[in-house]
Amino acid sequence: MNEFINALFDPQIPFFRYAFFSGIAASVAFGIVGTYVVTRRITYIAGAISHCVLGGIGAALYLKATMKWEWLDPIYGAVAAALAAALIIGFVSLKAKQREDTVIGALWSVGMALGIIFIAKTPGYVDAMSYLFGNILLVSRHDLAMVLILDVLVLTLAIFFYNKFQAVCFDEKFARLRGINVEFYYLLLLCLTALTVVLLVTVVGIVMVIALLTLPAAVAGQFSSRLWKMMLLSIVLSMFFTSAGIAVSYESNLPSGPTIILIAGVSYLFSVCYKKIACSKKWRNSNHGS
Amino acid sequence: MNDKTVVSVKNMSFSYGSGNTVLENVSFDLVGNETVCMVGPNGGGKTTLLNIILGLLKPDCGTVSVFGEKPEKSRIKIGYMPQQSQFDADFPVNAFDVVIMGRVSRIPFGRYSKKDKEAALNAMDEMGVSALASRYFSALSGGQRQRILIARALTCEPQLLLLDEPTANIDPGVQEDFYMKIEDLSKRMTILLVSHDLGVVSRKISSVICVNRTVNIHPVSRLNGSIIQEMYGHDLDLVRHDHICSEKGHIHE
Repeated sequence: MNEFINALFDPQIPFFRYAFFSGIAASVAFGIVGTYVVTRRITYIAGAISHCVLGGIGAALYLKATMKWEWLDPIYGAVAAALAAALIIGFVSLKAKQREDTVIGALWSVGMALGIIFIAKTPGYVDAMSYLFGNILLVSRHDLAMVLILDVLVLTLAIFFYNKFQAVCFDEKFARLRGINVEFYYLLLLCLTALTVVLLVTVVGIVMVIALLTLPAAVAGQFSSRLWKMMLLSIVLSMFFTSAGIAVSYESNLPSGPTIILIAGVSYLFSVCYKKIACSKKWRNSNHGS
Repeated sequence: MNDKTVVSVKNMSFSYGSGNTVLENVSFDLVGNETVCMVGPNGGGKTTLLNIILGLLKPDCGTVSVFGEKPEKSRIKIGYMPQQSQFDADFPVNAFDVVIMGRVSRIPFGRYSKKDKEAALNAMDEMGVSALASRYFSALSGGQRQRILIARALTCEPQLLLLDEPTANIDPGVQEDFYMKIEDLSKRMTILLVSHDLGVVSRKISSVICVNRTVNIHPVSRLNGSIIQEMYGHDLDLVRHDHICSEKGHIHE
Protein backbone atom coordinates (compact mmCIF):
# COMPACT_ATOMS: atom_id res chain seq x y z
CA MET A 1 0.00 0.00 0.00
CA ASN A 2 2.86 2.37 0.88
CA GLU A 3 4.39 1.76 -2.48
CA PHE A 4 1.11 2.79 -4.11
CA ILE A 5 0.86 6.01 -2.08
CA ASN A 6 4.49 6.83 -2.87
CA ALA A 7 3.80 6.29 -6.55
CA LEU A 8 0.84 8.66 -6.31
CA PHE A 9 3.07 11.50 -5.14
CA ASP A 10 6.09 10.62 -7.25
CA PRO A 11 6.77 13.58 -9.58
CA GLN A 12 8.55 11.17 -11.95
CA ILE A 13 5.34 9.34 -12.87
CA PRO A 14 2.61 11.93 -13.46
CA PHE A 15 0.53 9.47 -15.54
CA PHE A 16 -0.16 7.55 -12.37
CA ARG A 17 -1.69 10.60 -10.73
CA TYR A 18 -3.72 11.36 -13.85
CA ALA A 19 -5.05 7.80 -13.81
CA PHE A 20 -5.98 7.95 -10.16
CA PHE A 21 -7.68 11.35 -10.30
CA SER A 22 -9.52 10.70 -13.55
CA GLY A 23 -10.94 7.54 -11.91
CA ILE A 24 -12.07 9.52 -8.87
CA ALA A 25 -13.52 12.38 -10.92
CA ALA A 26 -15.32 10.16 -13.42
CA SER A 27 -16.86 8.16 -10.57
CA VAL A 28 -19.21 11.08 -9.90
CA ALA A 29 -20.75 10.67 -13.36
CA PHE A 30 -20.70 6.85 -13.09
CA GLY A 31 -22.67 6.92 -9.85
CA ILE A 32 -25.34 9.34 -11.01
CA VAL A 33 -25.90 8.07 -14.54
CA GLY A 34 -25.43 4.45 -13.44
CA THR A 35 -28.31 4.90 -11.02
CA TYR A 36 -30.59 6.19 -13.78
CA VAL A 37 -29.50 3.38 -16.12
CA VAL A 38 -30.19 0.70 -13.53
CA THR A 39 -33.54 2.07 -12.35
CA ARG A 40 -34.76 2.81 -15.89
CA ARG A 41 -33.47 -0.65 -16.97
CA ILE A 42 -31.50 0.46 -20.01
CA THR A 43 -28.26 -1.44 -19.29
CA TYR A 44 -28.24 -3.05 -22.72
CA ILE A 45 -28.58 0.31 -24.42
CA ALA A 46 -25.49 1.44 -22.51
CA GLY A 47 -23.73 -1.74 -23.71
CA ALA A 48 -24.58 -1.04 -27.35
CA ILE A 49 -23.43 2.58 -27.03
CA SER A 50 -20.11 1.49 -25.57
CA HIS A 51 -19.40 -0.91 -28.42
CA CYS A 52 -20.27 1.77 -30.97
CA VAL A 53 -17.58 3.91 -29.37
CA LEU A 54 -14.97 1.67 -31.03
CA GLY A 55 -16.37 2.74 -34.40
CA GLY A 56 -15.84 6.39 -33.47
CA ILE A 57 -12.37 5.80 -32.09
CA GLY A 58 -11.40 3.81 -35.21
CA ALA A 59 -12.74 6.50 -37.54
CA ALA A 60 -10.89 9.23 -35.62
CA LEU A 61 -7.59 7.31 -35.69
CA TYR A 62 -8.00 6.57 -39.40
CA LEU A 63 -8.77 10.18 -40.33
CA LYS A 64 -6.01 11.50 -38.10
CA ALA A 65 -3.45 9.27 -39.82
CA THR A 66 -4.65 9.54 -43.42
CA MET A 67 -5.90 13.16 -43.52
CA LYS A 68 -3.19 14.43 -41.18
CA TRP A 69 -5.79 15.98 -38.88
CA GLU A 70 -3.50 16.21 -35.88
CA TRP A 71 -6.20 17.78 -33.70
CA LEU A 72 -8.49 14.80 -34.04
CA ASP A 73 -8.08 12.99 -30.77
CA PRO A 74 -9.77 9.55 -30.56
CA ILE A 75 -11.88 10.82 -27.65
CA TYR A 76 -13.72 13.21 -30.03
CA GLY A 77 -14.59 10.26 -32.26
CA ALA A 78 -15.73 8.38 -29.17
CA VAL A 79 -18.04 11.21 -28.06
CA ALA A 80 -19.53 11.60 -31.57
CA ALA A 81 -20.13 7.86 -32.02
CA ALA A 82 -21.62 7.49 -28.53
CA LEU A 83 -24.07 10.38 -29.03
CA ALA A 84 -25.03 9.14 -32.51
CA ALA A 85 -25.66 5.62 -31.19
CA ALA A 86 -27.73 6.99 -28.29
CA LEU A 87 -29.92 9.08 -30.59
CA ILE A 88 -30.42 6.24 -33.11
CA ILE A 89 -31.48 3.80 -30.38
CA GLY A 90 -33.62 6.49 -28.78
CA PHE A 91 -35.52 7.35 -31.95
CA VAL A 92 -35.95 3.70 -32.88
CA SER A 93 -37.40 2.81 -29.49
CA LEU A 94 -39.68 5.86 -29.49
CA LYS A 95 -40.91 5.89 -33.08
CA ALA A 96 -40.27 2.77 -35.10
CA LYS A 97 -42.10 -0.45 -34.53
CA GLN A 98 -38.90 -2.48 -34.91
CA ARG A 99 -38.08 -4.80 -32.08
CA GLU A 100 -35.92 -2.64 -29.88
CA ASP A 101 -33.60 -5.40 -28.69
CA THR A 102 -32.86 -6.43 -32.27
CA VAL A 103 -31.82 -2.88 -33.14
CA ILE A 104 -29.67 -2.66 -30.01
CA GLY A 105 -27.94 -5.93 -30.90
CA ALA A 106 -27.37 -4.85 -34.50
CA LEU A 107 -25.88 -1.50 -33.52
CA TRP A 108 -23.72 -3.21 -30.89
CA SER A 109 -21.88 -5.38 -33.41
CA VAL A 110 -21.97 -3.02 -36.40
CA GLY A 111 -20.28 -0.28 -34.34
CA MET A 112 -17.63 -2.74 -33.27
CA ALA A 113 -17.10 -4.05 -36.83
CA LEU A 114 -16.66 -0.51 -38.18
CA GLY A 115 -14.07 0.23 -35.52
CA ILE A 116 -12.03 -2.86 -36.24
CA ILE A 117 -12.06 -2.17 -40.00
CA PHE A 118 -10.98 1.45 -39.50
CA ILE A 119 -8.19 0.39 -37.14
CA ALA A 120 -7.01 -2.30 -39.59
CA LYS A 121 -6.86 0.30 -42.39
CA THR A 122 -5.07 2.91 -40.26
CA PRO A 123 -1.39 3.16 -41.24
CA GLY A 124 1.06 2.34 -38.46
CA TYR A 125 0.48 0.24 -35.38
CA VAL A 126 -2.65 0.84 -33.29
CA ASP A 127 -3.17 -1.08 -30.10
CA ALA A 128 -6.89 -1.91 -30.16
CA MET A 129 -6.51 -3.84 -26.91
CA SER A 130 -6.11 -0.71 -24.83
CA TYR A 131 -9.47 0.59 -26.09
CA LEU A 132 -11.22 -2.73 -25.65
CA PHE A 133 -9.91 -3.60 -22.22
CA GLY A 134 -8.89 -0.17 -21.01
CA ASN A 135 -5.61 1.13 -19.78
CA ILE A 136 -6.15 3.92 -17.36
CA LEU A 137 -2.39 4.44 -17.14
CA LEU A 138 -2.51 5.84 -20.70
CA VAL A 139 -4.66 8.79 -19.53
CA SER A 140 -2.85 11.99 -20.46
CA ARG A 141 -3.17 15.47 -19.00
CA HIS A 142 -5.40 16.32 -21.95
CA ASP A 143 -7.61 13.27 -21.29
CA LEU A 144 -7.92 14.27 -17.66
CA ALA A 145 -9.17 17.70 -18.74
CA MET A 146 -11.73 16.05 -21.05
CA VAL A 147 -12.86 13.77 -18.24
CA LEU A 148 -13.40 16.80 -16.01
CA ILE A 149 -15.37 18.69 -18.67
CA LEU A 150 -17.67 15.74 -19.41
CA ASP A 151 -18.02 15.13 -15.71
CA VAL A 152 -19.19 18.67 -15.00
CA LEU A 153 -21.61 18.54 -17.94
CA VAL A 154 -23.19 15.25 -16.85
CA LEU A 155 -23.36 16.38 -13.24
CA THR A 156 -25.01 19.70 -14.04
CA LEU A 157 -27.71 18.18 -16.24
CA ALA A 158 -28.37 15.24 -13.95
CA ILE A 159 -28.83 17.48 -10.92
CA PHE A 160 -30.74 20.16 -12.79
CA PHE A 161 -33.33 17.69 -14.07
CA TYR A 162 -33.28 15.34 -11.08
CA ASN A 163 -36.98 15.64 -10.27
CA LYS A 164 -38.05 15.32 -13.89
CA PHE A 165 -35.84 12.28 -14.46
CA GLN A 166 -37.12 10.69 -11.28
CA ALA A 167 -40.76 11.17 -12.31
CA VAL A 168 -40.14 9.91 -15.86
CA CYS A 169 -38.15 6.86 -14.73
CA PHE A 170 -40.62 5.92 -11.99
CA ASP A 171 -43.89 6.36 -13.88
CA GLU A 172 -43.59 7.43 -17.49
CA LYS A 173 -47.33 7.47 -18.16
CA PHE A 174 -48.09 9.68 -15.18
CA ALA A 175 -45.28 12.09 -16.13
CA ARG A 176 -46.66 12.30 -19.66
CA LEU A 177 -50.12 13.08 -18.30
CA ARG A 178 -48.62 15.90 -16.24
CA GLY A 179 -47.52 17.49 -19.49
CA ILE A 180 -43.87 16.43 -19.26
CA ASN A 181 -42.12 15.89 -22.59
CA VAL A 182 -41.22 12.29 -21.82
CA GLU A 183 -39.49 11.70 -25.18
CA PHE A 184 -37.15 14.64 -24.63
CA TYR A 185 -36.08 13.41 -21.20
CA TYR A 186 -35.59 9.87 -22.50
CA LEU A 187 -33.28 11.12 -25.26
CA LEU A 188 -31.48 13.42 -22.84
CA LEU A 189 -30.94 10.49 -20.49
CA LEU A 190 -29.53 8.41 -23.36
CA CYS A 191 -27.16 11.27 -24.29
CA LEU A 192 -25.97 11.56 -20.70
CA THR A 193 -25.46 7.80 -20.74
CA ALA A 194 -23.44 8.17 -23.95
CA LEU A 195 -21.12 10.80 -22.43
CA THR A 196 -20.67 8.69 -19.31
CA VAL A 197 -19.87 5.66 -21.45
CA VAL A 198 -17.02 7.63 -23.05
CA LEU A 199 -15.64 8.37 -19.59
CA LEU A 200 -15.96 4.70 -18.69
CA VAL A 201 -14.15 3.61 -21.83
CA THR A 202 -11.09 5.61 -20.76
CA VAL A 203 -11.13 3.92 -17.36
CA VAL A 204 -12.05 0.26 -17.97
CA GLY A 205 -12.31 -0.14 -21.74
CA ILE A 206 -15.25 -0.83 -24.05
CA VAL A 207 -15.90 -4.44 -23.11
CA MET A 208 -16.24 -3.77 -19.38
CA VAL A 209 -18.23 -0.54 -19.48
CA ILE A 210 -21.55 -2.08 -18.47
CA ALA A 211 -20.04 -3.62 -15.36
CA LEU A 212 -18.65 -0.39 -13.94
CA LEU A 213 -21.77 1.53 -14.92
CA THR A 214 -24.21 -0.86 -13.27
CA LEU A 215 -22.43 -2.73 -10.46
CA PRO A 216 -21.96 0.24 -8.09
CA ALA A 217 -25.61 1.24 -8.65
CA ALA A 218 -26.75 -2.37 -8.23
CA VAL A 219 -24.97 -2.63 -4.87
CA ALA A 220 -26.22 0.80 -3.80
CA GLY A 221 -29.78 0.00 -4.87
CA GLN A 222 -30.00 -2.76 -2.28
CA PHE A 223 -29.36 -0.36 0.56
CA SER A 224 -31.12 2.80 -0.61
CA SER A 225 -34.70 3.89 -0.20
CA ARG A 226 -34.37 7.07 -2.24
CA LEU A 227 -32.91 7.86 -5.62
CA TRP A 228 -30.39 10.48 -4.46
CA LYS A 229 -29.14 8.21 -1.69
CA MET A 230 -28.59 5.50 -4.27
CA MET A 231 -26.61 8.00 -6.36
CA LEU A 232 -24.41 9.12 -3.46
CA LEU A 233 -23.69 5.55 -2.44
CA SER A 234 -22.94 4.55 -6.05
CA ILE A 235 -20.50 7.45 -6.37
CA VAL A 236 -18.67 6.40 -3.21
CA LEU A 237 -18.61 2.75 -4.28
CA SER A 238 -17.45 3.65 -7.76
CA MET A 239 -14.60 5.75 -6.34
CA PHE A 240 -13.67 2.86 -4.08
CA PHE A 241 -13.75 0.27 -6.89
CA THR A 242 -11.62 2.35 -9.28
CA SER A 243 -9.03 3.47 -6.74
CA ALA A 244 -8.80 0.06 -5.08
CA GLY A 245 -8.53 -1.50 -8.55
CA ILE A 246 -5.71 0.83 -9.55
CA ALA A 247 -3.91 0.23 -6.25
CA VAL A 248 -4.19 -3.57 -6.48
CA SER A 249 -3.20 -3.62 -10.13
CA TYR A 250 -0.14 -1.49 -9.31
CA GLU A 251 0.95 -3.63 -6.37
CA SER A 252 0.39 -6.97 -8.10
CA ASN A 253 1.23 -5.89 -11.64
CA LEU A 254 -2.20 -6.77 -13.05
CA PRO A 255 -4.12 -4.96 -15.82
CA SER A 256 -6.13 -2.15 -14.20
CA GLY A 257 -9.52 -2.45 -16.00
CA PRO A 258 -10.18 -6.12 -15.20
CA THR A 259 -8.94 -5.63 -11.63
CA ILE A 260 -11.48 -2.83 -11.08
CA ILE A 261 -14.27 -4.96 -12.53
CA LEU A 262 -13.38 -8.01 -10.44
CA ILE A 263 -13.43 -5.95 -7.25
CA ALA A 264 -16.84 -4.49 -8.26
CA GLY A 265 -18.21 -7.93 -9.18
CA VAL A 266 -17.09 -9.57 -5.93
CA SER A 267 -18.56 -6.68 -3.93
CA TYR A 268 -21.87 -7.10 -5.75
CA LEU A 269 -21.89 -10.82 -4.97
CA PHE A 270 -21.23 -10.12 -1.28
CA SER A 271 -23.93 -7.45 -1.14
CA VAL A 272 -26.51 -9.83 -2.64
CA CYS A 273 -25.59 -12.58 -0.15
CA TYR A 274 -25.62 -10.13 2.75
CA LYS A 275 -29.03 -8.83 1.75
CA LYS A 276 -30.45 -12.35 1.43
CA ILE A 277 -29.17 -13.34 4.88
CA ALA A 278 -30.36 -10.07 6.46
CA CYS A 279 -33.82 -10.47 4.94
CA SER A 280 -34.28 -14.08 5.99
CA LYS A 281 -33.15 -13.20 9.54
CA LYS A 282 -35.66 -10.40 9.69
CA TRP A 283 -38.33 -12.71 8.35
CA ARG A 284 -37.51 -15.37 10.93
CA ASN A 285 -37.55 -12.81 13.75
CA SER A 286 -40.85 -11.33 12.69
CA ASN A 287 -42.42 -14.80 12.52
CA HIS A 288 -40.95 -15.88 15.84
CA GLY A 289 -43.60 -16.96 18.31
CA SER A 290 -46.51 -16.43 15.99
CA MET B 1 -73.33 19.47 -24.04
CA ASN B 2 -73.60 22.08 -21.30
CA ASP B 3 -71.12 23.91 -19.06
CA LYS B 4 -71.00 21.10 -16.57
CA THR B 5 -70.13 18.41 -19.09
CA VAL B 6 -66.76 16.97 -18.15
CA VAL B 7 -66.29 14.27 -20.76
CA SER B 8 -68.20 14.15 -24.01
CA VAL B 9 -67.79 11.30 -26.47
CA LYS B 10 -69.70 11.24 -29.76
CA ASN B 11 -69.92 8.40 -32.30
CA MET B 12 -66.40 7.33 -31.43
CA SER B 13 -64.83 4.11 -32.69
CA PHE B 14 -61.40 2.73 -32.01
CA SER B 15 -59.43 -0.24 -33.30
CA TYR B 16 -55.88 -1.52 -32.85
CA GLY B 17 -54.50 -2.03 -36.31
CA SER B 18 -56.81 -3.38 -38.97
CA GLY B 19 -60.17 -4.86 -38.24
CA ASN B 20 -59.65 -5.37 -34.52
CA THR B 21 -62.41 -3.07 -33.32
CA VAL B 22 -62.31 -2.51 -29.59
CA LEU B 23 -64.89 0.25 -29.26
CA GLU B 24 -67.70 0.81 -31.69
CA ASN B 25 -69.86 3.89 -32.11
CA VAL B 26 -69.51 5.03 -28.53
CA SER B 27 -71.42 8.09 -27.33
CA PHE B 28 -71.85 9.32 -23.79
CA ASP B 29 -71.57 12.43 -21.64
CA LEU B 30 -70.20 12.67 -18.17
CA VAL B 31 -71.65 15.49 -16.09
CA GLY B 32 -69.66 17.42 -13.50
CA ASN B 33 -69.47 16.44 -9.82
CA GLU B 34 -70.78 12.97 -10.37
CA THR B 35 -69.07 9.82 -9.22
CA VAL B 36 -69.22 7.30 -12.01
CA CYS B 37 -67.94 3.77 -12.23
CA MET B 38 -66.77 2.18 -15.46
CA VAL B 39 -67.26 -1.58 -15.48
CA GLY B 40 -67.06 -4.37 -18.01
CA PRO B 41 -65.29 -7.66 -18.65
CA ASN B 42 -61.52 -7.87 -19.18
CA GLY B 43 -60.75 -7.14 -22.80
CA GLY B 44 -64.01 -5.21 -23.15
CA GLY B 45 -62.22 -1.91 -23.81
CA LYS B 46 -62.17 -0.15 -20.41
CA THR B 47 -58.46 0.65 -20.48
CA THR B 48 -58.66 1.69 -24.11
CA LEU B 49 -61.51 4.09 -23.38
CA LEU B 50 -59.56 5.47 -20.42
CA ASN B 51 -56.49 6.08 -22.58
CA ILE B 52 -58.64 7.82 -25.18
CA ILE B 53 -60.09 10.14 -22.52
CA LEU B 54 -56.51 10.84 -21.40
CA GLY B 55 -55.50 11.63 -24.97
CA LEU B 56 -52.93 8.82 -25.12
CA LEU B 57 -54.79 7.05 -27.93
CA LYS B 58 -56.50 8.64 -30.93
CA PRO B 59 -59.94 7.40 -31.95
CA ASP B 60 -60.43 6.27 -35.57
CA CYS B 61 -63.54 8.41 -35.91
CA GLY B 62 -65.90 10.49 -33.81
CA THR B 63 -65.05 13.19 -31.31
CA VAL B 64 -63.86 13.17 -27.74
CA SER B 65 -63.68 16.29 -25.64
CA VAL B 66 -62.69 16.76 -22.03
CA PHE B 67 -63.72 20.01 -20.35
CA GLY B 68 -64.77 21.19 -23.80
CA GLU B 69 -61.28 20.80 -25.26
CA LYS B 70 -59.10 18.15 -26.88
CA PRO B 71 -58.04 15.50 -24.36
CA GLU B 72 -54.32 16.34 -24.78
CA LYS B 73 -55.03 19.91 -23.79
CA SER B 74 -57.13 19.23 -20.74
CA ARG B 75 -55.26 16.24 -19.36
CA ILE B 76 -53.48 18.61 -17.00
CA LYS B 77 -56.81 19.03 -15.19
CA ILE B 78 -57.05 15.28 -14.63
CA GLY B 79 -55.65 13.54 -11.57
CA TYR B 80 -54.77 10.00 -12.61
CA MET B 81 -54.22 7.00 -10.39
CA PRO B 82 -52.71 4.07 -12.33
CA GLN B 83 -52.94 0.38 -11.51
CA GLN B 84 -50.45 -0.66 -8.86
CA SER B 85 -49.13 -3.66 -10.71
CA GLN B 86 -47.15 -1.49 -13.13
CA PHE B 87 -44.59 -0.29 -10.59
CA ASP B 88 -41.03 -1.52 -10.39
CA ALA B 89 -40.67 -2.90 -6.86
CA ASP B 90 -36.95 -2.07 -6.82
CA PHE B 91 -37.33 1.62 -7.59
CA PRO B 92 -35.85 3.64 -4.72
CA VAL B 93 -38.49 6.22 -3.80
CA ASN B 94 -40.29 6.90 -0.56
CA ALA B 95 -43.97 7.73 -0.25
CA PHE B 96 -43.38 11.48 -0.17
CA ASP B 97 -41.26 11.36 -3.35
CA VAL B 98 -44.17 9.66 -5.10
CA VAL B 99 -46.81 12.10 -3.86
CA ILE B 100 -44.86 15.22 -4.83
CA MET B 101 -44.49 13.88 -8.39
CA GLY B 102 -47.99 15.27 -8.91
CA ARG B 103 -46.33 18.71 -9.00
CA VAL B 104 -43.60 17.79 -11.47
CA SER B 105 -45.01 19.91 -14.28
CA ARG B 106 -44.87 23.03 -12.13
CA ILE B 107 -41.09 23.14 -11.90
CA PRO B 108 -39.35 24.27 -15.10
CA PHE B 109 -36.20 22.65 -13.70
CA GLY B 110 -34.53 22.23 -10.39
CA ARG B 111 -36.30 21.72 -7.15
CA TYR B 112 -39.80 21.59 -5.78
CA SER B 113 -40.88 24.77 -4.02
CA LYS B 114 -42.13 25.09 -0.47
CA LYS B 115 -45.64 25.39 -1.87
CA ASP B 116 -45.27 22.09 -3.73
CA LYS B 117 -44.12 20.40 -0.55
CA GLU B 118 -47.06 21.83 1.38
CA ALA B 119 -49.49 20.61 -1.28
CA ALA B 120 -47.98 17.13 -1.09
CA LEU B 121 -48.19 17.08 2.72
CA ASN B 122 -51.80 18.32 2.65
CA ALA B 123 -52.80 15.62 0.18
CA MET B 124 -51.14 12.97 2.35
CA ASP B 125 -52.95 14.38 5.36
CA GLU B 126 -56.26 14.21 3.55
CA MET B 127 -55.68 10.57 2.64
CA GLY B 128 -54.52 9.80 6.18
CA VAL B 129 -51.03 8.69 5.14
CA SER B 130 -48.82 11.50 6.53
CA ALA B 131 -47.14 9.05 8.88
CA LEU B 132 -45.91 7.01 5.91
CA ALA B 133 -44.06 9.91 4.23
CA SER B 134 -40.55 8.58 4.74
CA ARG B 135 -41.39 4.91 4.17
CA TYR B 136 -40.02 3.00 1.17
CA PHE B 137 -42.84 2.93 -1.39
CA SER B 138 -42.43 -0.75 -2.32
CA ALA B 139 -42.54 -1.82 1.32
CA LEU B 140 -46.06 -0.45 1.80
CA SER B 141 -49.20 -2.58 1.73
CA GLY B 142 -51.59 -2.50 -1.23
CA GLY B 143 -54.05 -0.30 0.64
CA GLN B 144 -51.35 2.16 1.73
CA ARG B 145 -49.94 2.40 -1.77
CA GLN B 146 -53.41 3.06 -3.16
CA ARG B 147 -53.84 6.01 -0.76
CA ILE B 148 -50.38 7.33 -1.66
CA LEU B 149 -51.26 7.18 -5.36
CA ILE B 150 -54.56 8.96 -4.79
CA ALA B 151 -52.69 11.60 -2.77
CA ARG B 152 -50.34 12.01 -5.74
CA ALA B 153 -53.33 12.52 -8.03
CA LEU B 154 -54.73 15.10 -5.58
CA THR B 155 -51.53 17.20 -5.61
CA CYS B 156 -52.34 17.83 -9.28
CA GLU B 157 -55.38 19.79 -8.01
CA PRO B 158 -57.59 17.91 -10.44
CA GLN B 159 -61.11 18.67 -11.55
CA LEU B 160 -61.54 15.10 -12.71
CA LEU B 161 -60.11 12.19 -10.74
CA LEU B 162 -59.52 9.00 -12.71
CA LEU B 163 -58.93 5.87 -10.67
CA ASP B 164 -57.84 2.77 -12.58
CA GLU B 165 -58.73 -0.45 -10.72
CA PRO B 166 -58.47 1.16 -7.28
CA THR B 167 -59.78 -1.87 -5.41
CA ALA B 168 -57.39 -4.44 -6.88
CA ASN B 169 -54.96 -5.77 -4.21
CA ILE B 170 -57.03 -4.25 -1.42
CA ASP B 171 -58.45 -6.14 1.54
CA PRO B 172 -62.25 -5.99 1.81
CA GLY B 173 -61.95 -4.29 5.21
CA VAL B 174 -59.90 -1.49 3.70
CA GLN B 175 -62.32 -1.09 0.80
CA GLU B 176 -65.01 0.32 3.08
CA ASP B 177 -62.55 3.07 4.16
CA PHE B 178 -61.77 3.72 0.56
CA TYR B 179 -65.42 4.31 -0.38
CA MET B 180 -65.77 6.77 2.47
CA LYS B 181 -62.76 8.72 1.18
CA ILE B 182 -64.22 8.74 -2.31
CA GLU B 183 -67.48 10.11 -0.90
CA ASP B 184 -65.55 12.99 0.70
CA LEU B 185 -63.65 13.78 -2.48
CA SER B 186 -66.75 13.63 -4.64
CA LYS B 187 -67.95 16.86 -3.06
CA ARG B 188 -65.07 18.68 -4.77
CA MET B 189 -64.53 16.92 -8.08
CA THR B 190 -65.86 14.52 -10.67
CA ILE B 191 -64.66 11.00 -10.07
CA LEU B 192 -64.40 8.23 -12.64
CA LEU B 193 -63.56 4.79 -11.27
CA VAL B 194 -62.58 1.88 -13.47
CA SER B 195 -63.15 -1.61 -12.20
CA HIS B 196 -63.74 -5.12 -13.45
CA ASP B 197 -65.22 -5.78 -10.05
CA LEU B 198 -68.95 -5.16 -9.78
CA GLY B 199 -68.67 -4.86 -6.01
CA VAL B 200 -67.37 -1.38 -6.65
CA VAL B 201 -70.87 -0.44 -7.69
CA SER B 202 -71.50 0.69 -4.21
CA ARG B 203 -73.30 3.49 -2.51
CA LYS B 204 -72.78 7.06 -3.64
CA ILE B 205 -71.98 6.07 -7.19
CA SER B 206 -74.47 7.84 -9.38
CA SER B 207 -74.14 5.87 -12.58
CA VAL B 208 -72.35 2.98 -14.14
CA ILE B 209 -70.71 3.06 -17.55
CA CYS B 210 -70.78 -0.43 -19.00
CA VAL B 211 -68.00 -0.97 -21.52
CA ASN B 212 -68.04 -4.05 -23.68
CA ARG B 213 -67.26 -3.01 -27.25
CA THR B 214 -70.23 -0.69 -26.98
CA VAL B 215 -70.91 1.67 -24.12
CA ASN B 216 -74.10 2.12 -22.11
CA ILE B 217 -74.74 4.30 -19.11
CA HIS B 218 -77.04 3.11 -16.37
CA PRO B 219 -78.05 5.03 -13.27
CA VAL B 220 -77.25 2.77 -10.35
CA SER B 221 -80.93 2.64 -9.37
CA ARG B 222 -81.83 0.87 -12.60
CA LEU B 223 -79.11 -1.76 -12.44
CA ASN B 224 -80.56 -5.21 -12.31
CA GLY B 225 -79.75 -8.73 -13.28
CA SER B 226 -80.78 -8.45 -16.91
CA ILE B 227 -78.55 -5.44 -17.61
CA ILE B 228 -75.59 -7.16 -15.99
CA GLN B 229 -76.29 -10.27 -17.99
CA GLU B 230 -76.41 -8.26 -21.18
CA MET B 231 -73.05 -6.66 -20.32
CA TYR B 232 -71.17 -9.77 -19.36
CA GLY B 233 -73.07 -12.21 -21.47
CA HIS B 234 -73.83 -14.58 -18.62
CA ASP B 235 -75.44 -14.71 -15.21
CA LEU B 236 -73.72 -13.05 -12.32
CA ASP B 237 -74.77 -12.67 -8.75
CA LEU B 238 -75.34 -9.04 -8.08
CA VAL B 239 -75.03 -7.87 -4.53
CA ARG B 240 -76.86 -4.61 -4.22
CA HIS B 241 -75.60 -2.38 -1.44
CA ASP B 242 -78.12 -0.14 0.18
CA HIS B 243 -77.73 3.33 -1.10
CA ILE B 244 -79.44 6.47 -2.18
CA CYS B 245 -79.47 6.88 -5.92
CA SER B 246 -79.74 9.92 -8.04
CA GLU B 247 -82.48 9.79 -10.62
CA LYS B 248 -80.52 10.91 -13.66
CA GLY B 249 -81.77 10.19 -17.13
CA HIS B 250 -81.32 6.72 -18.47
CA ILE B 251 -79.32 7.02 -21.69
CA HIS B 252 -79.39 3.37 -22.62
CA GLU B 253 -81.22 3.00 -25.90
